[in-house]
Amino acid sequence: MRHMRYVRWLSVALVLFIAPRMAIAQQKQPPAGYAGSAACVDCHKESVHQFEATVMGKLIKENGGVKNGEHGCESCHGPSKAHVESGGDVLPPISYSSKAKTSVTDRNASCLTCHEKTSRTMWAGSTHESRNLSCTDCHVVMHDNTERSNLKKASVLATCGSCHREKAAAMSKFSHMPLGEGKMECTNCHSPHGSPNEKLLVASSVNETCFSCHAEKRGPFMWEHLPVTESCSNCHDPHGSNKIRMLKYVPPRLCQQCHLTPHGAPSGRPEDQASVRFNYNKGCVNCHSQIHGSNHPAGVFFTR
Amino acid sequence: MRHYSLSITTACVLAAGALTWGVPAKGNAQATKDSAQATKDNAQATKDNAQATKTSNSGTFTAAAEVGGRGFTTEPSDVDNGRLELYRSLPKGALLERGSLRFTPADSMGRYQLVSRRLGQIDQSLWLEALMPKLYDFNVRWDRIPHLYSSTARSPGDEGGTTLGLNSLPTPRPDTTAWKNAPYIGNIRTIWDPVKTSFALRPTEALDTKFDWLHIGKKGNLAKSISFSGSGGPSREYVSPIDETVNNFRIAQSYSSGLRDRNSALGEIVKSVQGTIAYQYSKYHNEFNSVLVDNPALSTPVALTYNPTTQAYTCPNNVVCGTNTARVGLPPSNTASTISLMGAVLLPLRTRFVGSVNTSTEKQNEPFLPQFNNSALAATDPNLNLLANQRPSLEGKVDRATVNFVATSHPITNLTLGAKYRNYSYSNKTPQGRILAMVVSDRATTLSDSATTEWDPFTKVNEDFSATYQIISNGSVSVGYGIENFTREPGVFRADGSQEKTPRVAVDYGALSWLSLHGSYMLGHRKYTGTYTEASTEVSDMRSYMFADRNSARINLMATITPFDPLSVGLSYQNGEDMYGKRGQRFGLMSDKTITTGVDADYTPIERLNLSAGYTHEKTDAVDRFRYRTGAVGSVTYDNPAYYWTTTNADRNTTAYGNVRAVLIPEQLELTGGFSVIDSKFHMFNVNDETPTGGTAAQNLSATVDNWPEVTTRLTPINLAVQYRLTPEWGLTLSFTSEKYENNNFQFEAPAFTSTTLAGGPPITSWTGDLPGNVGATAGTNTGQFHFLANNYHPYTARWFTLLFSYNPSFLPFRSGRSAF
Repeated sequence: MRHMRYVRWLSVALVLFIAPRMAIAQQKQPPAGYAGSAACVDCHKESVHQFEATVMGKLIKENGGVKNGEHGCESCHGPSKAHVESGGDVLPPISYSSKAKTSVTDRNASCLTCHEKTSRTMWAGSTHESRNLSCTDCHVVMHDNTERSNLKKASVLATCGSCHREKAAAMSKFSHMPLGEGKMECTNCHSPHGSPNEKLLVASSVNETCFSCHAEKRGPFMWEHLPVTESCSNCHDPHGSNKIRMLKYVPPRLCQQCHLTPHGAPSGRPEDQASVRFNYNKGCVNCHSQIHGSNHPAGVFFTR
Repeated sequence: MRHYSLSITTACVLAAGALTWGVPAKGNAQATKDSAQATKDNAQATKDNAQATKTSNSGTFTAAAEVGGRGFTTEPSDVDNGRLELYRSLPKGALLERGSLRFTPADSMGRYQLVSRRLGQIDQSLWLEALMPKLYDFNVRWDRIPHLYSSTARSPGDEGGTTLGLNSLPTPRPDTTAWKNAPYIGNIRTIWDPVKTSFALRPTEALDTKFDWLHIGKKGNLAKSISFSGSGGPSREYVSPIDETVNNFRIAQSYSSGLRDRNSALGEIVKSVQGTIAYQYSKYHNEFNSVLVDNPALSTPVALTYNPTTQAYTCPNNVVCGTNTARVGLPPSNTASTISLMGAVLLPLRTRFVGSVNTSTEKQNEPFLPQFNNSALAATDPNLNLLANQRPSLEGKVDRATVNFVATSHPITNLTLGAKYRNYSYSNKTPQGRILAMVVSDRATTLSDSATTEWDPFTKVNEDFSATYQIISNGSVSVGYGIENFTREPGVFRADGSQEKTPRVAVDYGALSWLSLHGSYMLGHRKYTGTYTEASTEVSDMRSYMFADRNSARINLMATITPFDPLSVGLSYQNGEDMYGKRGQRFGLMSDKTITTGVDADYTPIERLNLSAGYTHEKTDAVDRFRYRTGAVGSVTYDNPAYYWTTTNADRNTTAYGNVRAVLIPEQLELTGGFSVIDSKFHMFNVNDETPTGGTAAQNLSATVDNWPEVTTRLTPINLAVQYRLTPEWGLTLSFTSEKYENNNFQFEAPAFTSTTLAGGPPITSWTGDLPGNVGATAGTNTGQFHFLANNYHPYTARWFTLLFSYNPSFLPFRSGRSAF
């Protein structure tokens, strides 16, 4: 019953937030330069019909239900009276097709008028902004295409993969995270709209990003392993690898890049039975199984 | 289950609350013409599905489902299907593939739905959504993820099946034959259950409140390994239990002023303001703190004996010495708290400043495990009094702090200037501890390996400056310069830090309607700072790639060509190389080069036909330099140029695909098909600089290297599907899928050693079956040193048909949903 009390309070809160929305502005006559959305339907009936079924379409159609959306279609496309009067010869001031002359900055500015909050706060100056990407390179507006975020392709992976082809291809390698299987998305780790962090990560560092799911690696441990402490990506390629555990190199070579001659034993020949423990199965981790850090008092060599 | 039940129950109740309160309130207020139009649209959309909908005064309920069955024409065995079901489930028989129950309010734009995918299967998912745009957005997503690590494991013991955390072997210990003929123990698998609950509120146009709770339950097991007597064995791979939970709570409040009134305070200067404050708490809990593993060579403990005269330890039987059962620590439970502050302002000239501060504290204080688990040790060892832990737990505490500052401006129309500063620091505040004596491998105490815990604090500072000039419409040139200063605690590890400078240039061209181009080039120069401290003689003249001097270059070229409207072709080329080997480096990673090329095409000659195809090839070559070393310092074999060797790690990855989608009868019959070939080859080439000489025959042989066998994998999935709309309410999908997986990795297969000695022998030319349970043993004994579970992914060929009937297909959820994370 205690849960029900919280639900009641939350429901009351919902009502309080809904109340201010009750008053909706009335339809106004188009101001100078604007044609009004009704004029758009004459030529773009199919597009308008599809758009009206989307959440954004409904909001704009509510005529003021969304800030800056009071001009209907022209809220995004700009005052288009000239476009209508020319029978389409003159393009609207803001157009989003790949052939449009509207600069990417102007296109994006139109979207950011309403969508600059939360993750888009970091859009200005971000990697994708500096690469001249437009919002419509990744998102569609005029119809529903995906479950959330209305992406241009069927999934986040496919959308990001249209440019980051090598990363998308890596997701098919022998060891990979389940992005191709639809269980994860690029956006679980990266913030495509901008981030103050390296590689557009959602968290402050590679490790903190990984720890959000792999918290068992977080420690702190009694015995730290320096490359682990500094970055998981020292040893792992999170986008996929042909090696076990998404390792960048095959064991024992990976370890030998810092530990040149482990135990003085040969490791260049798979035919030596003595080097089975180095060259087969998990390589060095056959014994140093706590390689991410050990909290065992006898774990200085990560074996316990 | 309690957590999931609570999540789902809470979600349902909250959704019900939203329905109860929100919808009528909205509806009463908005009986407008537009709303009526929306209702009309909804009605239109559901017109064809009248039987599936229940309309009431407050809205419309719509149900949709896709059910059917799957049957295999070629089905891998339970042992061979490990790779097939790595992250998914492919049961045969009846399926409830997709389903949804949606409520659409008659007079509002809200959306309330419960969506399922693969219900009842191991990889099932559920999504509950209550959305009122601009007001609230409530979601609960549960998306179960199987991680199938192996389906081929075999063991002669009890791998935790009777008592989780106790991996026992029979007494007397199994011999070679028993290991090799050990029974299969079933799948080694961990099931992840991520449940994400998020609730976003927009109380006013300027405010956003968001609450997220990600709960991840992990249950199952994982193969791990242990050595009982140091690097010489015996070692054993065992099944470690997994019973862990991760709970991440986050609450954030954002503010956005929108475009401010010019007449407001500083309105002429400060155009808009945004800010976010967030707090996150993460808790990781492990039900197990350790696992007990039986020694495959000993059923009674034997400790090394101490000779007071020579002050040396010796093993009584000189063959096997150690504990009969070892205790291995599992990851300790821990927590992390993070506070984030972020602010942004927009000034004239589209100048924008964004600053953020992020600080987190991670803690871990689980009780220490005992130093050893060898009952024989207590009777003989003279250093037992030094083994007591100095304190009961670590009192582990780590602080991380990040400061970011980003500025962008457009001082003139076509010019964009940018500057970034980032300071990230990692600081371990755990009180240092001193281990006076250590029991390595449960055999004997040692003072030489005793140590003081050391931490590796570091600070990474990044500065970046950039300028972009738009030369023509949709054409720009960018230049940038980045500096990274990596500072470590002096003397902690090898190098005090490093500095890397990365100038870059990029060109974007999109002025032609049929062509868009992007090209970028970046150089990197990294140098370690201070003196490179070689940790021991083992690594003289070696530079760890993390600290070594490095020259880098990156080229990225992309083109999209649209020669005529229905055809679009994309081309890409990336070249990245890292070159090491500066300032005294003779060993370690010397170079790492990757070239990736890709082409894809999309062709839509008519509206009802779409063809697409693509090809990507990745070529990576990484070169390492090593040496074999033996003997005393100063001896010929200690640093013998004839013992130097080079490894080249050559990776080749090729992915090709083709897809077709054809609408044969509009709105009635559709055909889709596709194939992929995902091919990977890895080959390690090992070569000595010269024929190893200068030592004994055995030493020279140990210094001799040869190529590793090639490791290959290839996955070839093909699928073909026909969708037929029987009536507006009913649809039918028949699909055929074929998957062939080929795998050849000698590291997980049984080597046919031709020599009974541990070192030497001619190159192996054949490997048969999975890596056996006992390598290096004399048949019929238990003297083998390396005991594996025979984990491997077997090749497979699988072909199956899926027949699905859909009810109300227009309202089915997309086949691909969003992840729960």
